[in-house]
Amino acid sequence: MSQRLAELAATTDLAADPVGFASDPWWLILFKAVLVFAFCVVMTLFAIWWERKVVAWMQMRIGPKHVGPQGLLQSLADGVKLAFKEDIIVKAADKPVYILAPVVSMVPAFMAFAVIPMGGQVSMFGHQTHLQLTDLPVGVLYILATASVGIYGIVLAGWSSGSTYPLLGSLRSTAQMISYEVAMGLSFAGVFLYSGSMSTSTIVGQQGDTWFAVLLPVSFIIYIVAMVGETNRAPFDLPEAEGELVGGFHTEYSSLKFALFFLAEYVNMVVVSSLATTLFLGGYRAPWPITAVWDGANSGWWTLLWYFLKVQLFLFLFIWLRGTLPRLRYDQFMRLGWKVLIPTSLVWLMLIATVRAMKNEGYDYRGIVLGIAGAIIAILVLSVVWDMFRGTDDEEEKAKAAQPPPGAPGAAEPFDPMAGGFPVPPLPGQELPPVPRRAVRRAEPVGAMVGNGNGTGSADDESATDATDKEV
Amino acid sequence: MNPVPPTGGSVLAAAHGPLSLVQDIDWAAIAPPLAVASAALVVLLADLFLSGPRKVWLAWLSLAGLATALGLLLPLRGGGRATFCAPADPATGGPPACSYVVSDLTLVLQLVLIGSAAVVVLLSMPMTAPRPWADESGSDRAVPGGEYHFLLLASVAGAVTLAAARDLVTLVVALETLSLPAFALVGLRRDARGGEAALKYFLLSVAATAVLLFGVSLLYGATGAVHLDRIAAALTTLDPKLDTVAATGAGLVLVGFAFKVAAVPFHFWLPDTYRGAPVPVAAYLSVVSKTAGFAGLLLVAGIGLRPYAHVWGPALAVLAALTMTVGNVVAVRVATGSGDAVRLLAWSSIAQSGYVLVPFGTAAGDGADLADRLPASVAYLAVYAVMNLGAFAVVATVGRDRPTGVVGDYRGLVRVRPWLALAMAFFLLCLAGLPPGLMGLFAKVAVFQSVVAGGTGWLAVVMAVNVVVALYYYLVWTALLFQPPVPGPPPVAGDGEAAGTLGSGGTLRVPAPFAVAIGLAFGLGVVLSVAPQIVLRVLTVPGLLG
Amino acid sequence: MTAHGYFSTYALVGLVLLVGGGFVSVAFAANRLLRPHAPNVEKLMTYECGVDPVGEGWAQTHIRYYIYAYLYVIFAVDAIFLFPWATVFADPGFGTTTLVEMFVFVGFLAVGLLYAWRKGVLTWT
Repeated sequence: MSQRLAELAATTDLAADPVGFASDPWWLILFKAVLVFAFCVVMTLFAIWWERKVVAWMQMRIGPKHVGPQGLLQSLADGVKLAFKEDIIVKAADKPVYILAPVVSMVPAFMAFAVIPMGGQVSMFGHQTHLQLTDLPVGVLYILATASVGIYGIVLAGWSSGSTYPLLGSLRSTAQMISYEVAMGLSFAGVFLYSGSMSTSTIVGQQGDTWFAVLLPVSFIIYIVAMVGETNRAPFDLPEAEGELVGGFHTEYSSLKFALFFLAEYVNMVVVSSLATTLFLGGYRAPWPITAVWDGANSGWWTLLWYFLKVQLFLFLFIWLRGTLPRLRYDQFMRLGWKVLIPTSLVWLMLIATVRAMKNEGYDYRGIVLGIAGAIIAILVLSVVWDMFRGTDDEEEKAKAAQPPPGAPGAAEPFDPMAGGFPVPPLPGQELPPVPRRAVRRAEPVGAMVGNGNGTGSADDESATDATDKEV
Repeated sequence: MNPVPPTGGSVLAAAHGPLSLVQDIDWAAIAPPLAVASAALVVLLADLFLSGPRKVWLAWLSLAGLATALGLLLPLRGGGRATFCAPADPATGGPPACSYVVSDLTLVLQLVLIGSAAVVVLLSMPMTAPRPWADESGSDRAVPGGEYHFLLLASVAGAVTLAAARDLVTLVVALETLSLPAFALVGLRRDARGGEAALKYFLLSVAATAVLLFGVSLLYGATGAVHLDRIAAALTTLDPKLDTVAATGAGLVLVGFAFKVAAVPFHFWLPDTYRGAPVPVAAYLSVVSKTAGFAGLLLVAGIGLRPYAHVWGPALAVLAALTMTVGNVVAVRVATGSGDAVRLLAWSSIAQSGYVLVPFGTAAGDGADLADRLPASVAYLAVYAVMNLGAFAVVATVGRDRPTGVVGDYRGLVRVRPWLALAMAFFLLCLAGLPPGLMGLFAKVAVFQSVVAGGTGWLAVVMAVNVVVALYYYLVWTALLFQPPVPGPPPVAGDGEAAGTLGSGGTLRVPAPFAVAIGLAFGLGVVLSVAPQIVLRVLTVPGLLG
Repeated sequence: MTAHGYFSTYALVGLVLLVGGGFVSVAFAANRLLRPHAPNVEKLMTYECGVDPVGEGWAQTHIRYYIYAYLYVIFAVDAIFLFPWATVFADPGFGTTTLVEMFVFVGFLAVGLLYAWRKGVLTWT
C-alpha cells in the first residue's frame, strides 16, 4: 500500500519533469489562471466564427465576412453587442437564483480547465513552468464534478425563469446530461484501468507509446458520443429544440446573462474536446509520424500547437455533426444513452479488465484474444437467434394489440385528418393512420442498434402517437 | 510488490503485510444468507423473463432458495465458525474480534427465521400467482410477484445476517436490509390502506433507526469499539466520566430495537401496519421481522451491554410488563369490540413480545447470570414462530373467502372445514398456553422459571395475571370455531360478531399451499407439544450467548 | 509529494474560482454601466409565444424525470466506485480476486439496469 502511495506521489509529480506544480511563483500562477480564462474566451469567439464559417461552406454559403478579415471579428462584435443590450428580468422570475444561474453555469466550465494539460514544460518570463494550471491526483474526477455543477446552472435557470418553456427545456437538458454523464464516467474507467491514475498529466504521460484511443477504441467512441450529448450539441440539441421549446432553458435571458450561457456552452465544448485529447489522443504530444522524424516536437511551446490542433479536430467534429445530422427524437436519444452506451461500456470495461488480469497472470495473448472473440461471436449469434424468435412474438402481440376491441369508441369512426376542412388532431380513441415515414425509421441506425434488433420496437407505436400528444 | 521502498509511513501496510490485500472469507459460514440473497437476485431476474401463469415459478424459486439456505445450515452444526475478523488489537491486547459469528444461538435463530420465511412464501403463493389457485378477485388481488418475492428474500437475507452479526455496524446494516424491503412489502398491494400502513411503518421505523444510530455512535464514541465483545470488555473498564455517555448510548440502542420488536410504548405502528398489509406480510412482520429484532436485542443486550445489565435490566422489565399488559388489554377490547381478526392477532403478538421480553427484565448486576436467563427468550421465540404462523395461516385462508376479516367469520368453522378449525383451535390454545397446546405452555413455563430464578417476583406476578387475561380472547375465538352457525340469510358485511357465518355463506376454499403451510405448522406444533425438549434444549446449551 | 504541495494543488482550484468570480463581477459591473435600462410591463412579462401568459410558469412535470434522476444517482455513484478500483486494479497484491469482486459488483449494476429495462423504465414515452 505504501509503495503504491509513494508511486502515486511520484507519478503525480510528473516524475520525468523536474519542476513541480507548486513551485511556481504566485504571480505566475495568477497569470496562468488569467491566461486560462483568456484562452477560453478566445477559443469561444474563434469556435463561433469557425462554426458559422464551416456550416456556411457545408451549405454552399459564404458565412460572416464583413467584420474583420474573413469575418473573424464577427463573434467579438456579437459579444460586445450582447453586453450593450438591455437586461430584462421578467416579473415572474426568482431574482437571486435567476442572476446566479448563468454564473453557476459558466464558472465551473472555466474551472474544469484548471487541470487540462495544454502543453509540456515551457519557459515563461524566465521560469520553467507547465502549461497546466494545477495537477490534481483526481483530475478527471474533478472535471466530472465541475460538469455536474454546471448542470445546476441550467436547472436553476429554467426553474427561476418562472416560465414554462425554460422549465421544460431545463428538465430535458438535465435528464439528457445526467444520462450521458453515466456513460461518460464509465468510459473514463477504461482509461484509468490502463493509466493507473486519475491525474490528467499522468494519463498524458502514459500515452507516450500508444494513444488510448487505439488501445481503447470502444471507450473512445462512447466518450465521443457522450461528450456531444453532454454539451447539448447537435444531433443531441433537444433542450434547445427551437421548434418545440422556443429556446430552451435560456428563453427568458437577455444581454450579458444570455452571453454567459452562450460562453458556457462553447467553453464546455472546448473542455470536453480537451479532455478527449488528454484521455485518448495523447494530450499535447505530437502525433506519431512527426515524432519519428523530429525529436524536438514534444518539447517547449510546440506542445501547445499539438494540443491546439487536436482540440480543433474535435471542435470541427462538433461542427461537422451539426452540419450533417438531424436532431434525434427524445426517446431515441434516451434509448441510445441507456440501452446502448451504458451496457456497452459496462461490458467493454469488464472485457478489458479481464484481458489485463489474464495478461498479468501470464496467459498467452493470442489465446486471450481468440477466446474473447469466440465469446463475443457466440453472444452475437445467441442474440440474433433470440431476436428472431422474440421478434415474431412481438409482431403477433402487436398485431393483436393493434386490433381495437369490438365496441371501442374509436373503432367505428376512422380518423379524418381534414374533418370540416381543417387539419385536426385525432380525438380520444381515434388513431392516426400509419405514418409513411415508418419504413425510414426502421432502417435508422440508432433503432437498429437497440435491443429490439429488427427495429420494430415500441418506438414505432410511440411514433404514431408522438405527433398527437407531444408531451415534454 | 514493486521495488520502490516505502517512503511515507503507512499503517495499512504494516497491519496487513505485503500480500494480504484481499481478505480471507469463510464462505461456508456465510453461505445461508448468501443463498437467500442470491435467490432474491435470481427471482428478480426470473421475473423479467416469465410471464402469465409461469410467474408461479417465482414462488417455487423462492422456496428453493430458502430450502438451500436451510440445507446450508447443516454443515455448520458444530458452530464455532467466524469470519470477517479484525486482527488482534496490539494496543489493548484483546483477541481478534469477528463481525460474523456462527454460534449455536446463530444457528437456532437462523433456523427459525428461514423456516418461518418459507412458510410465509407458501402463504403468499396465491397472492403472487393467482392463476392456479384462485381468481383475481377479493383478497387475492394480485401483488407483483417478482417484486414481492425479491423483497421478501432480500428482507430475509437481512434477518439471517442479523442473527450472526457481532458488531454494531453489521447489526445496523442487517437490520436496515431487513426493514427497507419490508416497508415496500407492506404497501405493495398499492391500495389506500396498504399505503397508509407502509407510511406509518416507514416513518416510525426510520425514527427508530435514527435513534439506534445515535445510540451506536455514542457507544462507539465512549468505548472506541464496534465489536460487541470489545464493547463489553471496554465497558467493564470504562472511565467513570464516560459512564453517562455509554449508558445513554446503551439506552438509545435498546430503544431502537424496542421499536423493531414493537414493545409498548413503541408499538403504535404495529396494529395498523398489520391490518393494512396483506396477511402473509403481516405474518412475516409478526414472526420473521420480530424474531430478528429480538435477535438484535439479544446480541446487543446479552453480549455488548452485558456489563450494564443493572441499567437496562429494570428498564426492560418495566417495558415487558407494559407490553404484556397493554397488548392483552387492548386485545380483549378488540375481541369484545370490532372483532377484527388481524388486529386481534396484532395485539396478541404485542402481548407475546412482552413474554419474550420478560427474561431480559431479570437482568441485574454485571449480567453474570444472563446466560442462564436469556435462552428462555430464544425458546419462546421458536415456539411463538410456529404457533403464530399457524394462526396467521388460518386467518389468511379464511380471509380469502370472508373479506370482512372479523372473528365472527369463524363461527361454525368446524362444520365447514373440520381440520382447519381443529388446527386453529390448536394454535389459539398454544398462544394461550393451555393444553392440548402444550408447546405454548412449556415455553411460558420456561420464561416463568427464568424470571422466578432471577428473583424478579413482581414481573412473575404481572406475567401470570396477563396469561390469565389473555385466556379470555383466545378462548372466545376458540369457542366460536365450534359454535353452530347462525341460521338465516348471510348478514351484511362488516357487522362485527354477527358477520358472515360459514355454515350458510357457501364454501371455503383452501388452496394447496395454504394447506401445506397449515399442515407444517400444525405438525410441528404437535411434535413440539409431545417432545418440547427439542426446543427447550436451547436452555441447557452452555454458552449460548457466546 | 509533500502535504503542502498536495494542498496547494487544490488551493489553485480555489484560485480559479476566485478569478472566475472576478471575471463575472467585472463583466456584470461593466454590463450595468453600459446597457440601457428601460423596462415596461410588456418586456417584463413571461414569454408565452406571443399571447399573455396564464397562471404560473412552474408547471408540474412528468414523473419520469424523477425516475431518471434516481437511475442517475444509482449509476453515477456506482460508476464512481469503479474509478479507484480501475486505478489500482493492475497493481500487485490485488489479482484475480479483485477482478471477480468487480464482476460481482458490475453484475449487480447490470441486474439493476436489466430490471429497469425490462420493466420499461428506460423507454421514454
